[in-house]
Parts: sequence; C-alpha cells; structure tokens
Amino acid sequence: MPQHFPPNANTFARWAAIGGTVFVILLVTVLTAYARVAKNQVGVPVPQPINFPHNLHVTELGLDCRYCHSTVEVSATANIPPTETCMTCHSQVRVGTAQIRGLWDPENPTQPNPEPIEWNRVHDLADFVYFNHSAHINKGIGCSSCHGRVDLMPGIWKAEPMSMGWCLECHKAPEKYVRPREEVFNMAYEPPDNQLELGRSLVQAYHINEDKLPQCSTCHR
Amino acid sequence: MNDNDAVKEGSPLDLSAIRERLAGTSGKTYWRSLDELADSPEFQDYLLKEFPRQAAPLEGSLNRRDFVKLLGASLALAGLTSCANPEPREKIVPYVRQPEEVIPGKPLYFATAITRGGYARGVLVESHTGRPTKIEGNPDHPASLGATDIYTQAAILGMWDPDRSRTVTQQGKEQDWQSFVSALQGALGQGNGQGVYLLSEPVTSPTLGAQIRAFQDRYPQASWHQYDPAHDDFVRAGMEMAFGEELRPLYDFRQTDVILSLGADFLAYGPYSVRYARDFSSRRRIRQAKDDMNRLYTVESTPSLTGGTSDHRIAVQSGQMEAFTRAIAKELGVDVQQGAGELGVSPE
Repeated sequence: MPQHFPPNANTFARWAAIGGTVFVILLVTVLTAYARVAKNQVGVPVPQPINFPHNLHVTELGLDCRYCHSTVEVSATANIPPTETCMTCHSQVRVGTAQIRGLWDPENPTQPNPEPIEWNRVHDLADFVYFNHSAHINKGIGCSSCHGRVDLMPGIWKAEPMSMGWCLECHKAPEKYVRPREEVFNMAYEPPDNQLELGRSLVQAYHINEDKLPQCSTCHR
Repeated sequence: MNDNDAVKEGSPLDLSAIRERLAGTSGKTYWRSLDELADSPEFQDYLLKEFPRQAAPLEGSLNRRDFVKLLGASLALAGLTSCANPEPREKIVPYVRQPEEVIPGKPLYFATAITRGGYARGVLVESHTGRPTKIEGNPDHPASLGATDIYTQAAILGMWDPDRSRTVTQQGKEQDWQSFVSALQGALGQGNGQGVYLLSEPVTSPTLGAQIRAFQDRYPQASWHQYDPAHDDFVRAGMEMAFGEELRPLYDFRQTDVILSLGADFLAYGPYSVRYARDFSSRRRIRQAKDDMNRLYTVESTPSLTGGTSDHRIAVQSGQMEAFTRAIAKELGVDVQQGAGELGVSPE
C-alpha cells in the first residue's frame, strides 16, 4: 500500500506540536504584558489643552487640592474645576496671556471662555468599576497614595497603574496605607515606621470594614 | 395582470426571444410572471403605478442575495467599531460656570408641581447635574403626600421626548421669541383683540390667570379657550345645579364610612386621585379591635381601579346609570321621580 506521509512526517508533527505550544504560551505572555504596560501609561505625561502646572499652583502658591477638586469629600467624583474657578485668579493675574489661552474669553480676557475646556482624562477606570472618592477620603486614604506627588508635577501623569490588582493590595490590607484624616491632603506625608500598628488602630477608629473591602460587589456594583 | 391571449412574434411574450435573452445570463434568475421576465416597458410602467416604492429595487443592481450578504458582513464586523489603536482619550468637560448647588455625582432634588387637568400636584424631581431623572411625590404637598400616580411617573419621559417643542414654532417651523412678539404686535395692534383666540390647557394658577385676565382686559374682544380632552365640565355643571355655583368637589375620605361611587374612578383618575387613595386606604387599616373599615360600593359601566378595589361592584350599562341613580336616591329617601328607561339590575 502506498504511504501518504513521507518518512519525516513524524518529526515534523512532533516539532509542530512543541513549537505551537511554545508559540501560544509566548503569545499570551507577550500580549498580556503589552496590554498591561501600554494601557497603564504610568509616568507618561498626558498633553492637555492648557498646560496646567500643579507644582506652580500647589507647591509655590499653596493652593489646597480642594480649592479646585471641590467635591472630593462629598461625592464620588473629585470634580475638575469649572473655568470660573481658574478665573478667580486669572481674571487679574496674567490676564490674556498665551499660556492660558483657552481660559479667557477672546472678546474679554478677564471673563471665562464661553467654550468649556476639554481636558484629557488621565485616571480612567473601566465603566464596570464603581469608584467613590468621598468614601476613600473620609476613611483616611491620602490623595498622594493613589495619585502620587501631583504637587510636584509640572504636567500630569498617572503615578500608579490603577489596575484591579493594585487596588486589591490596599483593599486586602488597608492598615498598610491608611493615614490619619488630618494628613489626607498632606501630599508630603510619608508612612511612619509604625505604620502597621498605626494602621490597625486607624482601621478600627474609622470603622473600615475589612470584611467588605475585598468583596466583589464593593466595586463592581 | 394582462391577459395572455395569442402569442405574437416580437411581443413581450415571445418565448423564443426570451429564451435567447436568458441564454446569455448565468446564475439563477427568478421571476414571478412571464411579464416580469419579459420586463417590457409596459410591465415596468404597470409596476411603477401599482407599487411606487417597490418599483425601484427591480431597477437597482442590488439583488436580495447581495443585500443579505451585506447584512451578514456588517453584523460580523460590527464588533470592530470599538477597535481604535491608540484608544481615543476620554475627555472631561467641566462647566464654565458651575451652578451653585450642583455637585457632580450627587443628585439635587427640586420641589415642583405637575399639573393634571389644570390642577397642580407637588412633586420632587431628582436631577443629576441638570438632568432630571426621577419624579417622586412631595411629602409636604397635600395633593401628593409623597406619592405619585402613573401619569406623574411617566411625565419624566415627557422631558426627554425628542419631539418636545423647545422653541416657538410657527406653522411647524422654528422661530424665535422676537418674531413671535412682532407677529403678535402686528396682529393685535391697537385694536380690541377682535379675531384673537387664546388656546390653553385648563388653568388654575393664580399667576397665569391674572396675566391672562390682564390680557383680556387689554383686548376685550379676544377670547380664551381652555381645552382638556378629559374635562370635568359635567362635574362643574352638576355642582352648579347642586350648589348654585361652579364649584369643584373635594372629598375627605378620612371621615367617610360608606362610599358609593357612581362611575367615578376616584382612586385612579383625576388630579386628587393620589390623595384620595391615601385617605381611603387609611380607613382600611385595623390596628385596634374597635377600628372599623370603610366600605366602598361602585356602580360603573367599565372596569376601573376603583371598581376593582371596591367591596361591592355592580356593572351597569352607561345608559342605565341615570335610572339606577334615581332608584338608589329613591331608596335613600330622596324625593326624585322615577327616571325613564329599563333597569336591568335591582338597586337592592
């Protein structure tokens, strides 16, 4: 009976199976890594329509985070400020300069631009995640814990990946990251040496429910 | 269709000519009649007259199979709409001037009123950054007491109705207020309003009433028409007969022990239905041994919510309602004469 397969068919089949498995494993690994790194964009400055330097306004001028992000203690969103907030100063300071071109009304530089400013979102969570700023602020998570040293940034970039695994690091062990409420808006706060001890007492004091934190429905409502 | 009589040479039904034509084509062609196959000008004319919209596909190049192929392909590729590399950045667009009490992420509640038949019912509207999302009753308003009916709940959709008129329109075309004012001034002029008609819904608002009355004072010949498809003119006529004035009845069901409804759907219909339902049900709660439930008798010609809730319900033809009412009145000792008409049901 004539043979359909040449003698080297066996070797070919063997190498194809091994090679295929290796290829699939490599493919999955590389794609996952690429997806995680590329999507996170940690440390990559995001261009904005107006180049707003946080370091100038916060560190040099001494503005508190809440002057602009006013609803962070009461609402789920921290609220990018309306143009009016910027104009509280810029109707008198650097009026009509090129750096803040989108801010002022071309017909009247001391008035806000009737067109709202379209900022590019830097911290973007998926739509199936429910995140509430006020819950975190009121329970002793500082701004810099998640957003990094925004007060030193000339532009704006993500300091942390904001992935689910990263969120779970704290949700599984909040005592590692909780700080006293008075220090929440202190960007330069460093966790003390006795953070774990302090953290445990704060978790008790602030009624942080450690059973509920790592549950799925806490964030995926 | 045309009668197929004799087949003539060169006529559309010349089969040999058709066969020749078909010989050049490939694939399957379908036809429903020989006339369609012949595709003569008379046939196309007929088709155009008979089915003006369907005549077009026969002339077009897209046949049914290609259309279905395109349908399938666009469905299969639809998932690609979300692919964009790099992903477009989401924008955050804040206010230019943020209204004072608006907190993005937290709703604001506005106390307002929704009119029904001209009568206002107090509601609370939940609004998220200026977008109204839910209507609930206003607990402080006597006509609502925190409750709403289905029309009030559905009224939120009226706010989002794409056909809702947002500007002044003239004969269907959008205009602005200025052109309305000039048109109005042109029509009214210095005259006394002769030929001017004002059409509105029933109005119980004192402010609006005063404004319209001022308008009427200025233009005495202008007439004001209030229209409501489900109006209560008969109620007012009845009240006038009973009390000498055009009044509107307001029932207090907290005090009543026995209620007879003669076709009145007071639990579900009307501007005060929500309040009546609350009062009515308050007399049906037994908390202590000495409490007594009220009793509702309904006589009606169509099924209604009130009839469904009532303890005793009688279905009566609407034509017999008057006779029935007179019979009941007679039983109750009211001095009325027996009405005309057959009474199918005994008032016992």
